[in-house]
Amino acid sequence: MNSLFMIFSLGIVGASLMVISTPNPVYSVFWLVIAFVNAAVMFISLGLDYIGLIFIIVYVGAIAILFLFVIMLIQQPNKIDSQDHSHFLPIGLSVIFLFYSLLTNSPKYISNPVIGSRTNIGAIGSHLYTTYYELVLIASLVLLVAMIGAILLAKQPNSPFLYNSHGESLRSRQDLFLQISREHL
Amino acid sequence: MEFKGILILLIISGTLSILILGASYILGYKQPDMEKVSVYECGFDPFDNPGNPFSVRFFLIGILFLIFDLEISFLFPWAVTYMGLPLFGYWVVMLFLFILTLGLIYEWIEGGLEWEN
Repeated sequence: MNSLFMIFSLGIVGASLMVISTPNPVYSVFWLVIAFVNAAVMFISLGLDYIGLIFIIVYVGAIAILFLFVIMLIQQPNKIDSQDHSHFLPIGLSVIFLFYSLLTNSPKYISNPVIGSRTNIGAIGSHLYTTYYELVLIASLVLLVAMIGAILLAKQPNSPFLYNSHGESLRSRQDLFLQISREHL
Repeated sequence: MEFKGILILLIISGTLSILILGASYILGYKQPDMEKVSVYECGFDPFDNPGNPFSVRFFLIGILFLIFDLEISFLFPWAVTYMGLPLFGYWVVMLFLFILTLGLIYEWIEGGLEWEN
């Protein structure tokens, strides 16, 4: 178990190093997927099977795809020579410090729960909606803010190609009902 | 552990695909041609370079999918332990779903899923 943990954590570190060292951003997303899969397998080898599978579903299935979308959205820079990223160093160190202090100083959420003979998902379910109900509600509010923020950010201003000054669409829309029933009218 | 079956499946499928791909790569008769190795785009000449920015709506659809994906991941443990939960847990989940439904209604009214404005 311990050697498996070492292998997978080394895999995560190696894949993360490849993420930041690959010049092509698409390849770095692929390395990120490999890092996520490594993390999921590490969770499963630690016995946290539900967390591991959700990791694959959410991170690999959705977040990595979102990163691919972001890469396709932004203009690709033509020069791929290495830029100076050292100004990210304080942010990275503070994030590491934040996570470390969070993991070591929060005995309420990291304390050893009494799982008993239940399965992983059963133990999560029996505590998440009663003992830690406020976390579920906070999570729903965070998801709501994310949804509204995404819609507001992606709402495009009326572009002159599609709209005239009256705000009406210049592109004629297809009215399927009229088209189909034209012969019968 | 029940993940041993998944490991065996991964090993067998990986070996099989490497075997088939490698055999066709090694044993196949290669005759490269200008038309064969060029970029295939629906039979046309490539219109543009890949990597040009495209519509932000794909990104919006992806983010909305991600949010409901996360909501489902909160609902899985509830579905398993539904019978053993007290009534309080039921109403917590209902409140959770209600807050997310508010987001869905907002998205519907704002036309976030409409492809044309």
